Amino acid sequence: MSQQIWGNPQGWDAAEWQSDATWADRFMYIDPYFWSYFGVALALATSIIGASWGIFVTGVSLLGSTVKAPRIRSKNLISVIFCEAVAIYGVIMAIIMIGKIGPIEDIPTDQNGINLCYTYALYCGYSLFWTGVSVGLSNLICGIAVGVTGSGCAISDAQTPETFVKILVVEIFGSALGLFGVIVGIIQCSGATFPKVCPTS
Amino acid sequence: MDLCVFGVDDGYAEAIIRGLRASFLTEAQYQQMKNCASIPELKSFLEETDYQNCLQADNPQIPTSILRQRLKKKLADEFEYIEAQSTGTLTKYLFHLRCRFMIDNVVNMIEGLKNKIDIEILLSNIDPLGWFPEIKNIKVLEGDDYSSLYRDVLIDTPIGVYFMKFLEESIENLHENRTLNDIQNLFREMKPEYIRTSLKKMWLEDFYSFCESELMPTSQEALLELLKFEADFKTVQVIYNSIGNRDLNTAAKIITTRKQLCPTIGNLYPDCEKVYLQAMTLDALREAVKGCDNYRDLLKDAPDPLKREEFNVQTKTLDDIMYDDECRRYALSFDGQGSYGVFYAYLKLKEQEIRNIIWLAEMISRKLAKNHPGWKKIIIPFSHLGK
Repeated sequence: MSQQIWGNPQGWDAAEWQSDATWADRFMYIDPYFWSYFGVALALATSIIGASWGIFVTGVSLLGSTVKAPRIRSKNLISVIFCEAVAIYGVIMAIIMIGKIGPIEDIPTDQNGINLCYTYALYCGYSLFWTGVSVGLSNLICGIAVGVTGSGCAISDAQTPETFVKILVVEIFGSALGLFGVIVGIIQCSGATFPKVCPTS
Repeated sequence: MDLCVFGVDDGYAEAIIRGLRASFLTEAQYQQMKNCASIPELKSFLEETDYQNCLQADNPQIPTSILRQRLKKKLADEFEYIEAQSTGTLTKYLFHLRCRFMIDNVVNMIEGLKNKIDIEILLSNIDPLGWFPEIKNIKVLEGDDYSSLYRDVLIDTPIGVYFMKFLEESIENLHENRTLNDIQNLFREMKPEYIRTSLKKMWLEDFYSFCESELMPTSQEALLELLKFEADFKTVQVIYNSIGNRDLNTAAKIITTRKQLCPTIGNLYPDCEKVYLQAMTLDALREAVKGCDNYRDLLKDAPDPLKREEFNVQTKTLDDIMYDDECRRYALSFDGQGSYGVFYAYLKLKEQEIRNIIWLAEMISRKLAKNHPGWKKIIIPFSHLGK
């Protein structure tokens, strides 16, 4: 239990922990490393869910319309590339976030120092978690949007060749949404490196 | 939300339809067809369009009936391919669409058998879209026992349920002390057009309730409107054709026939029902439909049915006006994504195209002068979009 790493601020024994701790206390003692790795997983996994959703929606329409209109094959792969970009955003964010996680080498011995250190670690953990949520969810929706638009692009290109470029513009605007998520995410987790040595004051 | 998940099951089939949409003949191609001087020229022109493969095996002087069979077979093959690539609700939906053609086939076969036409000729003339395996069993007709034909053979067919309903309704309408002879006579004298219209009305209502219950909202939005319009089209046609009809001489007879043949779905039912059932002239019909302004505009130019004998090739009949409006609506339904309406619209518009080609083939084979008004009688799909 993280209590063992971080010490026992209230000086509780086991029975007191079971009876006197409130839900807020228990919530606060969830390990910051749990939060940070969960954030990494969210950023990566939900981005990829969005990207793959987009690819399957686009790919199906692309396959079907190419049967009767083979000329659209190469041009419409751009839609698939836009969806793929969303997954790449997720991977980039995950790598950046993993770089910020590391073990704390030197935990101080007095209770005040431990509390300070713990507060700082919690800040990093929460920051990385919510970065993961913001990046992941925005990429999820972006991937779906680009996918559905891409399938519309393939279909209308098969019907009327002039509409391809115009619908591509819609797709470009759609993929900008994922970029917004990444930008905000990078700013959000910029100060959140787990400290190697705890701050002393 | 259904746009996001439409691609899972039905995206491929819809995308094929979109690719097929590019294969419709354009106005320029119709112009070139009109300038063909003979049937072999028309055939070689058609071989350069999307129809190339289906006409290669025939000789250049192809008779119109064979031409129609080949074009319909191509449509049937395409439709079968799409049906094979579909799953779940879409397969049921596409099968339902084909039931309309099955009704036509069965009624034609029964009429042919009544008139003692050879079964092989009948089988070669059936519409390939409405083919089903049990159609070969309709040849058994011992004596004049049509009701047993209906009962025994047709009950196994996919459209058997419509025939059952139809039989029950017709028997109900006989007076109280009916005998077996009465029933036999009823079926022998019943006109094939009457049977066909009743069955198609039942099919349309069944299809409408299927669409209401099983389809997703995007599809419903497009389809229910199209089906309501088709039902209203049928209603107006029934009433129009029954005004001044020689076979319906009493008012009571007119009203019962109308009640039996007009569909119970659509914009005109049930609000205008009382009024249009009583309409005995064209003006009364216009009064009845004046609530819906689409139909008011359509009927404005319709010729008077009481003066039916004065119609010639030049008059724009009610059928022409309504086909025109129908084609416009079907062309518009191609503008939405993720809806089943495109399958229905594709079928209807391709049928219209085949009708156009056959009409032009007839005009060419009769070698009519180019200023004959019949040349203008074709309705070109997608021409309303100004493409």
